[in-house]
Amino acid sequence: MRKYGAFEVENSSYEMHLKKLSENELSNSSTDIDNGIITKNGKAIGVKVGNEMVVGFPTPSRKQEFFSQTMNEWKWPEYTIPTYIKSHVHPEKIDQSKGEFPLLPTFRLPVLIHSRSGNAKWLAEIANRNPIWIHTSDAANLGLKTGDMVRMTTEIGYFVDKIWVTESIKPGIVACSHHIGRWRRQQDEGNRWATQTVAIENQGDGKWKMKKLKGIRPFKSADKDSSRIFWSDGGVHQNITHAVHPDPISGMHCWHQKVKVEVAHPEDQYGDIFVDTNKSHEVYKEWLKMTRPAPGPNGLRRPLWFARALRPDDEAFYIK
Amino acid sequence: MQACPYDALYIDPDTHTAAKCNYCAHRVDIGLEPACVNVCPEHAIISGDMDDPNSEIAQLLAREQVTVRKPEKYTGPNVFYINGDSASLTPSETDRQDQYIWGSQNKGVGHYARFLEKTTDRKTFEDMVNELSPSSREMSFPPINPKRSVEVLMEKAKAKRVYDTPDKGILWGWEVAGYVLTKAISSGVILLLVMADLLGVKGVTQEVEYTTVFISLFFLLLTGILLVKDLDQPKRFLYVLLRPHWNSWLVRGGYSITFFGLFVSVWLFGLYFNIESVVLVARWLSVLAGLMVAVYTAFLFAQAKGRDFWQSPMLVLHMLVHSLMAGSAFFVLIGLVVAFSPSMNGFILLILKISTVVNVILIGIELSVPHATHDSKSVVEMILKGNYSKLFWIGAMLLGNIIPVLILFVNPQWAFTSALFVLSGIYVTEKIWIEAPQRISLT
Amino acid sequence: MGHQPTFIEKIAEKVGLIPTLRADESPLPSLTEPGKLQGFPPPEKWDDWEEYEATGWARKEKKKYSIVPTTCFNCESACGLLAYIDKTTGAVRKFEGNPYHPASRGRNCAKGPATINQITDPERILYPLKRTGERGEGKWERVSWDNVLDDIAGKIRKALQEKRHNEVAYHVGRPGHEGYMDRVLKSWGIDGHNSHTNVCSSGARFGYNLWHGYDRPSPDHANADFILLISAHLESGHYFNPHAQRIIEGMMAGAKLAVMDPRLSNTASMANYWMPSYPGSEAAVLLAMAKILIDENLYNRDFVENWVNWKEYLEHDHPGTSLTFENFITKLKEVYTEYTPEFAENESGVKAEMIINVSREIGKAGSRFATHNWRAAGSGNLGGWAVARCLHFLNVLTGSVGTVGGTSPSAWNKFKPNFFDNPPAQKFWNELHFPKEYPLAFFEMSFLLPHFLKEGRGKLDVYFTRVFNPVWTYPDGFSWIEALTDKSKIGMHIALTPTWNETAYYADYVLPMGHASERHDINSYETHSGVWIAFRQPVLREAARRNGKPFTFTYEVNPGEVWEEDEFWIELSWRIDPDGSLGIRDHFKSPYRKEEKITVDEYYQFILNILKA
Repeated sequence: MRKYGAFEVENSSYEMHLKKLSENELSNSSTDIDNGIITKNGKAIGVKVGNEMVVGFPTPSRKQEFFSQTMNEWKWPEYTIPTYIKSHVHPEKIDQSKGEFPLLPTFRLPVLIHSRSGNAKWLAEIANRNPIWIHTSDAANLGLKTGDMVRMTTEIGYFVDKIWVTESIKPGIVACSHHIGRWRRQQDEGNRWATQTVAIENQGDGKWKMKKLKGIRPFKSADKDSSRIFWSDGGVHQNITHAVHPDPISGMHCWHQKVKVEVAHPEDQYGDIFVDTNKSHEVYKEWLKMTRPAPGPNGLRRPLWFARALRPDDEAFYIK
Repeated sequence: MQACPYDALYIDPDTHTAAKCNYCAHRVDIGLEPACVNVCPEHAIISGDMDDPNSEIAQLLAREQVTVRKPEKYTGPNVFYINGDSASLTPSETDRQDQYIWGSQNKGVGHYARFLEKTTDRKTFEDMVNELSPSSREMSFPPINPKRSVEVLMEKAKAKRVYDTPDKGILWGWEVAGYVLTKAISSGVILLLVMADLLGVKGVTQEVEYTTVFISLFFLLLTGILLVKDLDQPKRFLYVLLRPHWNSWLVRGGYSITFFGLFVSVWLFGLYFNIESVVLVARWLSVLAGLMVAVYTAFLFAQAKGRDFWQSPMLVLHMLVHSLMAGSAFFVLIGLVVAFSPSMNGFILLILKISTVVNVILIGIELSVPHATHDSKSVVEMILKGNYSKLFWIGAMLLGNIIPVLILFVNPQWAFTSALFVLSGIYVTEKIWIEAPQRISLT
Repeated sequence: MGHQPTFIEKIAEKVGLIPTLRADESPLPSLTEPGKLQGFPPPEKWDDWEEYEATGWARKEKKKYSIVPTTCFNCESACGLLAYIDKTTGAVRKFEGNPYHPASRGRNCAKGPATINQITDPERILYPLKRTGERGEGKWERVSWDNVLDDIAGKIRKALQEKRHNEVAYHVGRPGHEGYMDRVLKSWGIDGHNSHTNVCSSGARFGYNLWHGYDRPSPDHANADFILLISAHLESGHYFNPHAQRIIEGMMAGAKLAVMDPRLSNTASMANYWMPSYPGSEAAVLLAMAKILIDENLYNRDFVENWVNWKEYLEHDHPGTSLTFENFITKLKEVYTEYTPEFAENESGVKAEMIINVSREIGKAGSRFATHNWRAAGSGNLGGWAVARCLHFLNVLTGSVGTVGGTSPSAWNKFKPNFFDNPPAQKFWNELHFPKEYPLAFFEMSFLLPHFLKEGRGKLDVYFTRVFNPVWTYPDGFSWIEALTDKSKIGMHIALTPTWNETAYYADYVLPMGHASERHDINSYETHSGVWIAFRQPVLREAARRNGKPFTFTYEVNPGEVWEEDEFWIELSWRIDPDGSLGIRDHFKSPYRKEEKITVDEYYQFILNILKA
């Protein structure tokens, strides 16, 4: 392992659900006549399909669950089978006449990794700015061209970015890549290949402002390349202006944001950011209202068959 | 650097010498694939032995329709593209911009790197861009015949450049324009002197001869200094002479200059020791070498295959005429300190008049003959109507040619002003001729 | 070779005016016959490899290397890397791919070789730092690892003794290991694991989990006939390098590719079908496709009949209906009646005709149908989990679950290591991580932490952020700044990170952790059909071992005092329980030396020995 660094444990693994239960595994087990579920010591260990006793899948039915009794039991009867759920950025919730767009803020670039690649000079050189992708027709409506500034207003604040006019996005949608818009304050160190200097102002009562002081600049260091930095645009930090959107079921943060896209205001400068964290707390509470809290059946906090990171003892699953 | 139609060479900021992708020669030599072939997740780059019919590359080449970049340059490129999209392969199909989708126009090599290193935290990017970049905001390219509706349509459907190879900037700057002027003076005065003597112009005295030879040597020295300064790695000047590639006009030019200097020095030696035979031989050899010095740059530029505009056969005449203009103009200036005979004076003014008029005609022809390629058309546009138009019309044509000729006709007393104008006109013309084509992106 | 020097050159070289370019008298041998090339030095030469220096070309400068394999840490794929350690300077000179890595197979994206930038960054954090001014003020002093460990261990010990178990939490961005931290946290008995999963893959995980109890897909792109991506896996995303290789392999063998994405990504531009769907409408399109498969009888009857819990569905939703498969299909047709291609077009903007064509291609591909969604639509939308659920529906209908060229559950292609010691599961449930409102969440409600703290749901006495930068990466970063600067909410914030980041600015301790070539980890991921294991190792430690150089901890051989977490956690755990009364020490005793503290070598020796057996 130290020598080769990696090795193959199996070169292929298919249809593992068809793995037959051994006689040892089957001893003292019982098989349900209706659904074929094989149980041992109160736990399902497999399923009888045709005449075969196989492991199946780790679900209550040991099969693929088109129908989810779990959803039913946990108060989501409307979602027991595969369904289409209208997004929080569904066109019904977007008023185009007010300049509203869904913003896709998540797409990644091949050369960067979240915020961790900030000290890799080759990568920062390739990608260091994140303009807003906007369709040609939408840009024309706004009277804007590539490089012009827009104010992107979210539920909790806004950020000022430049646009990139393109045919490569659906009309009516704007997009902005992840990874870019790294910053440091004047007193902070590090990552000067990718960070711009900003000033953060806490205006009180949850109101925060961030202003760009300097772009990325060459600097003197032991690495000569640092004095040859030719890029200055460090992009804009968009995530900090996003409201939290916890999906009431999966708990996923629903990244898409409804934004108002408008021509930058006269006082706006590239990279300006404003956020009101009180508003963001309000949005959190609104989304919280959509949830249907535990307990589930038998006073459970969570279905026992669901995986959980750092799974506690089963007894902790019950609300006491 | 200028010779490569693909703009593949660059000045390595660490070594300050020219470098290019050599397909990982250091790996191939020991049997390893080039790094780019090895690393690519999508196996998009394939290298191999094209002569081995069983190799993957030979089979792909046999099976697929492939394109190469700039086949019209007859460089026999061995990089083939499957499904090569012309918008990606032809630089003129997309526009160069300062800011691309994820980053700015790459300015990490050569003169840019040097500029940044010197000016870390002091000068601004804007300064650098204005000084070095072909894509600075003031330098937007005029579209060719923008009124034609088909092209407007095409323009609208134009692909957009989203990233770019490093920009090498203006590699040949004022030093090159300057050395073309100094060598024109250096060779011009010699050519003029010998012409005067041959034509029996009275007044080619030994004093005049001494002065000429000294002036020539002085400007030749200047030429040498500018030439060496222009090299990013000045010591590499030795390589030009001592590691010669005989078919390079850089080498031929270098030797022309060296021999010219040698012959003129011998001439001086002959003059000083009053050895007539030496003077005679040295004079003729100087004339031959001087002619070479005057015109070799035209061949050098022509070897820069990447620059279509420099491929003009007119360039030889253009250089020769500039040499005569420079020579005669400088003689006019010498006339302020050295008293020439009236016939010598007349001869000088005549040559100045004729060469300047011829120069205007030559430039007219050079710019008006139909240019075959998009790149050279763009340069002509840039000179006549675009970013260089003011410099060209006012600096080069009006001040550098027309006004001096008018002065000569109207009031020869003011000949020295017209000489100054002519000399600056040569410099400005050369600056345009050298810089403008470099603003065309090649890759 | 081709250069014939002229006499001028020869003389000049002789006189010494220019350097002599004599042909190398002892050129390095070629690994191959002329005309043939290979990708990598053979492993038997890794210990003592000699090659020409790239930047010294023409001079044919030779360089000797010790080549040590490790694993990339610049995304979750864990691709193989070879570190070239210069034998003269003892420093890492470059990284190349590891041809023996079963997933990456010697290839890498730009982020792999760029590891060299990260380890040589002149501004990297080299020593443990402690805040001197106020939190967030940006003033730091260098401290010793000893002081750091004692200070933190004391605080944790106090919390555990006072039964404030839920006030100690470890919040991880990029884990990059298999189970290491779970074991540590269990040994402390705390429910203290928080992750980044719910800003990432919770949506898709939930959708997949509902179907079959596995929460991630493992598409077998290389053998597929049709590939449907709701992602941009030719260019980015988890496992992009291993996936892209195999998508191309599949396509070169004739597979067709459809990409559903509102954006013309580089992946979409390479696809046979680009389906530019309105964001959030993907499930509607997928259900329309399912409807076509059902209506046109393109589904795999055998698989659906045997392996779908359709009886349960009929019993519950259509009581009284006799439990026949035909009845199920009839009901299925009824329930999805409204999902016509036209409806889907109306919702998504993807042309009905394209939806029909793609569905028929999928039907034709049958069990050789590979699909992928992880983040993208699944992570963008309210109800985004339904996208993964509807996507997997297509795999179920075509019977392409776990087949050759189909899509397997992740766990089938992932190796789980066995540890030398397994502490019992903790008895606590931390509601800051799993609040009652989200009983089904996948997993911790990590991005709501500032809001939970704001509401007074709890507080954290010791909070580790580890390769984790919520101030920047998470939504609503200013709420994070507010939480991190409030000492009544977060008693101590320790940032373990290989680089400076926006969250570390607001820490009490900033502890430098290793990059890819400076740390230990075991990795195994579902990159393709097959199971593999990779070993990330601090390459300079391995080089020191080879050279017989003595050292105790990895930070002694890494640049500065950059450590790696494995040893850090062993040392910390040991100090939390100085007298063994908390029972923590028992879980950090060597399996090979009685009563003594385990070393990191022994930890991996145990795992790898079992694997060998």
